[in-house]
Formats: sequence, structure tokens, C-alpha cells
Amino acid sequence: MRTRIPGRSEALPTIVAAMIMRMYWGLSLDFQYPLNAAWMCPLVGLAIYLPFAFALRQASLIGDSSPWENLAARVPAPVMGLTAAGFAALLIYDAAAAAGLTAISSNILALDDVSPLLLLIPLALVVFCAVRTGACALGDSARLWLRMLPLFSVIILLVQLGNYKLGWITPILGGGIADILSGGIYCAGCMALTSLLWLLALPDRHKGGLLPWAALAAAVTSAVMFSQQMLIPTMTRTDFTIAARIDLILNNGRMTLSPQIVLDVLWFGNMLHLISAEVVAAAEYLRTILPKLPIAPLAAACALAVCGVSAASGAWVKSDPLIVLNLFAVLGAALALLLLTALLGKRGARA
Amino acid sequence: MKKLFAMLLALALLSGCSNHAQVENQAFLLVMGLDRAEGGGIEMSAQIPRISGNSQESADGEGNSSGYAQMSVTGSNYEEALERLDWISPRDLNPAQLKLVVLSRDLAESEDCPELIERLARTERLFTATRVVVCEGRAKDFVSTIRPTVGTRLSTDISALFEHCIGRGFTPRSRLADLYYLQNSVYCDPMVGYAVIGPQMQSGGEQSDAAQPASALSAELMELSERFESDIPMRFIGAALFRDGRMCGVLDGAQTLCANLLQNEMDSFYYNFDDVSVELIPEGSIRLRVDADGDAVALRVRGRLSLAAEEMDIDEEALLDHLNADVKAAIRATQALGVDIFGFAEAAAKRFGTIEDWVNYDWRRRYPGAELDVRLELMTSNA
Repeated sequence: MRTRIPGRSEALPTIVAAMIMRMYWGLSLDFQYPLNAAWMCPLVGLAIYLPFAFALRQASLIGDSSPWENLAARVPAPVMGLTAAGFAALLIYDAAAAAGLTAISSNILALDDVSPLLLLIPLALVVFCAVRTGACALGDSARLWLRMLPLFSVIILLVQLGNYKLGWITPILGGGIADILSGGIYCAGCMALTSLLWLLALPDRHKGGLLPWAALAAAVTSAVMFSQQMLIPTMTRTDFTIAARIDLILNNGRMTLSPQIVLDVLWFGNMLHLISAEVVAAAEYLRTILPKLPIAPLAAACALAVCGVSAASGAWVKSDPLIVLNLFAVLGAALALLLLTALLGKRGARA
Repeated sequence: MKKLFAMLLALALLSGCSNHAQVENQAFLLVMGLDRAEGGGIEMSAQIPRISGNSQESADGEGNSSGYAQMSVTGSNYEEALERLDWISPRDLNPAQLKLVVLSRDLAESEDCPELIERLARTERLFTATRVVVCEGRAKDFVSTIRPTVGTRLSTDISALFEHCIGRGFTPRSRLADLYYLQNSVYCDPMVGYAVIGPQMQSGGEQSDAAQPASALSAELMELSERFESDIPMRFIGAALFRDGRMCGVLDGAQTLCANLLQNEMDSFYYNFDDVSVELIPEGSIRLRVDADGDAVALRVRGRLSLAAEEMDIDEEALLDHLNADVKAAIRATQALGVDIFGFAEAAAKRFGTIEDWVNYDWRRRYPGAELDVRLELMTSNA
């Protein structure tokens, strides 16, 4: 088993790719209240995410290991165990939602005579293999995806150049300021969830924190949402089926089908990064509770749990916007609590 | 042992390949016609390629040499008709290659149309990039006249035909996606192409029906058709306008040209003026602006055009007056129907902060009474 705790340089591309995917999926399919102002949400989310990034930075500065190990050295084990279990549960839930969406996307796009439940089996296998090959391979794959993204984006932009309608971005505030703020909190939750992998990442040759890269992910997602909203007129209907909404983003909505293959490669490729990253992180957090268990059975159990949760919900775990909206507060409070306990414990130890 | 286990696990990756689809085992739906069936329900007509070595020698039920099979079924609704079509089809029906959906005018104007468009857009494997047209008369008759006229493949022929018609400006882009998403949007209304069967190709009882033009457009087309001979029966000219998912009116070819011009769809176009056809080229985008002062709304159109052949001896001022009057007439025609197809809604929406404010403004109520100010200018060689 080659899986080991990732170094920061390996975790970084995986986290950036996963952040982009999680925010894009959320704003395109699950949390559509900001309407045509959804492109602002990742930027607002970045501002909300700043304290979380600051807390991550502080956690990495209080020791020589990963932020999680640094905290574990100073915080009582039951608290760390309880937090790890909570983090793992959230990661598995989110990965299950992503797995269900991936299976349903395949079902809608090509394999319409295959049950989405059946499609979860190869997905579990692929995720297990991705996790088994290690965080390093996952990081390399995500880095490749990030390098392809600008090239593919140029192709998509060129093909659709004549179809963009700037007027569809207006009225500029879309669903209103309150919905843009909610979308920002939603995006901050997505960024915080994917940042849980950074909490585990060991120091290596990479210098600096996560924040500049989170800013890059927010900027890319914002740009993608902006261009997408110039292709699709704002609709206030809320009863569109998931198939119709996936058709909008993967069959390129109302446009020519020529960029479909590019969109599919970006979508399915990055969905695997997101699910794998969350499974890697969930397995590592579970190891905090079960330190004697090797990582292989934990990773396999997490991959199976992801698909099991998804299958139990009929292959479609709808990512509840309310849960993701509260995610930032929950994760932020947990990290703040751990950090405060660690810092107070440190001072106490010095005294 | 590990390798064997890995190989067994890898078999799970084949789950998507269990029902692989061979091309020859598919009945690819290329053209679909939809009519209201007698006694209610939907009559669905379809053309599928025969895909056989001697397709050109095979004969259809009417004795015409064709590589395409035509089928027709009725059902109480769209899904049932599609199911029955699949049932009578010699292979699995596959709408992934569908190029054209033809709605009869009768059906497009009916209260069933919004639901039908919804169901069409939700059909599995049917990509929303497919074209939609409304035809005068029966869609079944129209579908039966569609044959590859240039080249050998119907799918390529339909795509090329539409590109040609759109390039001339007399028909809109007509995508199902535009129809479906725009009818659900908070902005302008959709339009799709309008089609008729040329009167010279109609025969027997059908001719007597078609001899009674159902609209000014078809009268214009019949008059036009009398001036030429062609064995290509279908004519795509003009646009069918939709409001709340139902067809509510027709624009003729010249009005559709103006609509395409205002939507910045034209790189260049031919314009008939004073018995001469002149080629005009838009210089930059045609800009639409909406000014509102209280309840008074003014629609403003600004743009610059140039003549492709400046050596022609043309009264440019009269040409401009004529063009501006035509554009105004096209806009007024849509105002009379209460349908904004040009994109004035997007221009008006810019002045609002949120979608809620914009929706509450009730553009539909204000558009018909809006004043018009159209100023298209001609760039001359001295400009």
C-alpha cells in the first residue's frame, strides 16, 4: 500500500482542483438562488474563508508536522478523535453526493440503459485505485488537470465566442445581496471542506500557505460561472430536473455540441479528484481514531461507504444546501476550538 | 492470487459495456414531425435512415426511391407516441442524432404546446441543439417531403440547409434549447423557423387545402413560388413567435431578417430595395437601448452598416429610410403581439439591481406601448 499522508506540494493541486469542482457543482446544480450573480459568490466566499485560512496557517506554525499533528500534540485525544470522526463523516457524505452525481451524469450523457447504482461499482473501484496509488499520484493528476484547464477553456471560449450574451449577466445583483452572501457562505463551506486535506498535509518543499491557491480556485470558479451565465438565460423556475440542469452544463446548454467532449473530460476528470481527495482525507482522519489499522482497509472502507451512502439514497445524495451553508460555521468552529485549546494548552505548558 | 483478485475486480469496469450499441442496431431518428391527432393526442411522424448497402434501390411505401424509412404513430401524449414509434421501429429508436423537429402550426398554437416543448427537452438522448420549426399544414406531410437534395445524407443536408437559410437571414437559428430556455427565462421571447410546402409540390386533395393560405406569409410565399420551379418542396422562411410556450404569431422573411440583424446574427445580408438587391454589412454590433421615464418607455436602435459594393449607383438616403422603416415595422409587428424577440428586455434589465425588481417591472406590459427610435446609419466612402 503506497498511500501515505500527502506533502503540501502534493496536496495543493488536489485541493485547488477539488475546490473548483465543489464550488462549480454547488453553484450550478444545488444552490442556484443567486441566479445570474452566482459568479460573485466564489469571490465573496473567499473573503468569508479568510479567517479559516488564517486558522490553518496558525495551526501549521505551532509545530513541525502537519497542522493536524501539531494540534493532536496539544489537544486531548478524545477531542481530536471526536473531531476526526465528524470530519470523516462530512467528507464521506460529500463524496457520496459527488459519487451519485458522477453516476447520474454518466447515466444521462451516455449510459442511459445502465442503472446508476451499477455505475457506482466501477466508481468505487476507480476511487479505491486512485487512493491506493497514493496522494502523490493524485496530486500529479490534479496538476495535469489544472494545466489542461486554461487550454481547454480557450477552446471552449473560441467555439462559443459568438454565443455569449453580456445582457444575461444583468440585473447585476441577480437574486439579491442576501442570496449572494448565502452563496458566498456556501462557497466558503466548500473551500473549508476541501481544505481538510491541507490540515493533514506534511511540510515539504512547498513554502507559503493555502490562501493564494484558494484565491486562485475562487477566481477560476468565478470566471467559469461568469462565462456560463453569458450562455444561459436566467431562469427563475426551480422545478428543473437534475437531468435538465446537467444538460445545461455538460451538453453546453443551448449551444453547439462541439465542446461537449472537452466539458466531459473536465467534469468527470475533476469529479474523480474531488471524490478521491475526500476519501483520502476521510481515511486519514479515521486513522486518528483507529491508529492500529493500516490505511488500506480504511481507504477501502471509505470508498465503499461513499458508494454505499450514495446507493442507499438511490444513487442520488442531493447535497443539501442547508448542510453546506452551515458547513463553514461547523468546520470553522471546530478548527477554532482545536486551535484555541492547543494555544491555551501551550501557554499553560510554558507557565 | 492478488492479480487474479485485481482482474476479477476490473470486470466491474465493464458494467457500462454490457449493453453496447452497434450503429446498425440503432434506428437513428433524424426528423420528427408532431401533429395533433384526430380525436386528441399526438401524431408523431419520423424519418430514420435505412443504413443498408442497397438503400438507394429500396423503395418506400409510396414507391419513391429513398434511403430513409418514414413511420407514423399516434398516442395519447408525446411519451406514448414515442414509445409506440420505438415499438414499430425495426431497431432501438435513438434520438441522439435528431436534426429537426417539425411542429404543426395547429399544435404549436394549442395549449398543449408548452408541455410538449418541456417533454421534448427532457427526452433522453435528445440533444437540445436540434432544430425546431413550425410548419403550415400537417407536420406529417412536411416530414414526408424532406429528402436529401444535395449530397446523400439527410442529416448533413438539413444542417447545411439551415446554415444556408440562417446565412440569408430569412430564418432564425431555431434551436430547441433556445425555445425551451428562453421561454423559461426572465428576458426576451423565443422564435423558431417557419416552414411551408411549396404549392407546386402539393398534389390532389392536399393542394386544395394548401391553396387556402393560412397567413399573409403563406400568401406571400405562394406568390413567390409561382415565379420559379423547383423539385425541392420545403421552404424555410420567416419565424414563428412564441409566448409562454405557445406560438402566437408569424414574422415574414423580411421581418425575420430585421430580427436577425438586431440580434447581431448577420455578418452580411442582401436587402431588396428599389428592385435592386444590395449587400449590406453591419459595422460592429447593432446596439439596443431602452430609456424609461416613468411609464413612458422608448426603444432605441443604433447601428452602422456599409455597402458591400460601393460602386453601385444607389440613393443611399432612400435606402436608409427604407431599411429603418422595415426595422420599425418588424418591431411594431412584435409589439402588436406582445412578444419581444429582439433582446430589448436584456437592454432594459440593465437598469435594475435584482431579478426580482426586473420581474416586478413587468416588461411584457410595457413593451407593446413603447416608442420607437431606429437610427441605422450607412457608412459611405467619405465617412
